[in-house]
Amino acid sequence: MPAIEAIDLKRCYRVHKKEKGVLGSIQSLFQRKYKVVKAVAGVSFAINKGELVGFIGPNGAGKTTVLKCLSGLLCPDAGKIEVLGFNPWQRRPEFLKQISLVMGQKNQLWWDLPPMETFLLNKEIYEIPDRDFDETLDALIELLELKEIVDVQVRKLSLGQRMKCELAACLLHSPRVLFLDEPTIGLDVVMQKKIRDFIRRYNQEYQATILLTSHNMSDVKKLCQRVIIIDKGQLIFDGPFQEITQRFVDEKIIKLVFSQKIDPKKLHQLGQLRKYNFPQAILTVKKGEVKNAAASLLKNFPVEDLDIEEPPIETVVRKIFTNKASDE
Amino acid sequence: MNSLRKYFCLASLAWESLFIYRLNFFIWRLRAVINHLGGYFFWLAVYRFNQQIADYDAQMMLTYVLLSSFLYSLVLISRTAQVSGDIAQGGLNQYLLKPMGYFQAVFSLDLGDKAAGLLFLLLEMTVFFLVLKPPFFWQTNSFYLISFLLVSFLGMFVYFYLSLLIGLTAFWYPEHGGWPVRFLFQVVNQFLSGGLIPLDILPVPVFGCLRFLPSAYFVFFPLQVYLGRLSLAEVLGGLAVLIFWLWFLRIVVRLVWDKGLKNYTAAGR
Repeated sequence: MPAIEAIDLKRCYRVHKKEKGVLGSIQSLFQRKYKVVKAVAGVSFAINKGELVGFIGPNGAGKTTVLKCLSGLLCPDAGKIEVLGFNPWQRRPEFLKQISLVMGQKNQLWWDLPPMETFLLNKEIYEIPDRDFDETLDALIELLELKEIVDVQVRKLSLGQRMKCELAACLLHSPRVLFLDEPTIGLDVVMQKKIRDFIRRYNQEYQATILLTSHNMSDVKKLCQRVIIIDKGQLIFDGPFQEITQRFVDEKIIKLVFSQKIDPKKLHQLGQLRKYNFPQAILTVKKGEVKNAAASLLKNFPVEDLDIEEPPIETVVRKIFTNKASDE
Repeated sequence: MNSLRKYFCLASLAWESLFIYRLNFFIWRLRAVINHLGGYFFWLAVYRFNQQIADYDAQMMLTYVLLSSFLYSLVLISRTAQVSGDIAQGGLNQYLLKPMGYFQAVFSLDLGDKAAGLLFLLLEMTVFFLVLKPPFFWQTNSFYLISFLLVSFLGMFVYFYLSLLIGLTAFWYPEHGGWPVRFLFQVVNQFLSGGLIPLDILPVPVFGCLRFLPSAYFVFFPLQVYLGRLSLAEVLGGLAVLIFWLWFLRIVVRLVWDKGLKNYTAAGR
């Protein structure tokens, strides 16, 4: 049985449409127009126990809505969801004790009190036995390097420190399913790496099932073997990370170093010239034509070095998103 | 037993957070003191020219005013005013994600606040009584005293549900974190509860209607009981009205909550 399963999940929002201008605002006092926005329009997937899956899509694609449905915050309009065999919307205590939703922009920590107070509150809320609590807390304090900050008022902590405490607060009850929404937002590179390492370790040590959204492609690239991409509320890809490039990209990049100056116009015949700045040049070529193009380059040009690469994943994803956006 | 500990922990956090900001704390208490003193001196001045207003003599009226501070702290101090903000800004998420009841959580926070409010009221009142020696009416009849405490506690629950219900309107009217609705409620409730003047000095038909509203049981009714102005039948009648409102509001709050949650977008944070 999968740990997380969604079948044909749908959720709409009703949004108040305001008319422009002063007259419009008076009109909207008496007569309102509403627009129904389909945030999630029939998404299905299943995630097995212990999997760490990346969940990506452009802004407003419906990622957070899906996470909120899976964690029981939102009632789906249609479709079926099961998490650890529970219907999240019923919000049974046995279910809530086994999950956690971490939202990068939101804080559960008591703003005016030190993080330790929130930790102790969570101990009571989740009814964690003293011994388990002490063990987990010690482990989290060490892993996330919290020793110096657990007794400092939350409002005096930096964003990164707060994020780390937030993670700790969400993990004290050792959830078996973890939903992470933008866990590295606003953090510096060093901290991003620490949080990433931590997530990987948590996944491996606890065999926890993790669904992670991030705009930071390096989070996803470094952590997730499997990726689900949604756009406009629909699933457009579900599979191994490497397959994204194969599925969505029909070109490769040839990086060249020349020993002598050449006429860049001649390169146009082989593919699209992205950049020419002697001695370097970058060319994109259709997948099927790579072999011929490389052979022709080596034969007809003073090539000193030649490298064939897949386009970087960030570019691929951006392209997927922009293509989808321009479909409309 | 274990499950009660989480709520106790919440109540003590609410208590703790009241004392963090000194200025905030002192202003809170200053406001309370000005409120007690203001009402007290106003009526003291009025009674200098009148022996009796409606059928209240000076001692009764001043007792009414002083004890209404107690009821204010017990009944009307409440975190339910934050419910609409929680809904509008998504703070509710943190409660929904955890194995705990939201109503119970808010009520626990309330208890922390109420305990602090009552403790400081007691200190301030002690000073007040020592310095000004007001003509206070000490009720000695145990029936009235017990009934007074009973109806005050019931009133506390009725206010909790009513104020919660007002907060829940933010599921549909989230503008300004629910404050427009809350503000209207507070202004109306302050008057209807008898916090400004005893309701029975109003014209008879008006009072006849107001006495059946839940607000009348937050300040006015308990004080009528304390002052011994009601017969046994009237006390029992009032108790019945209170119990009706408690039962009715509980059901409505449940229904509205279930419906509201379906409408909830968990927006914001």
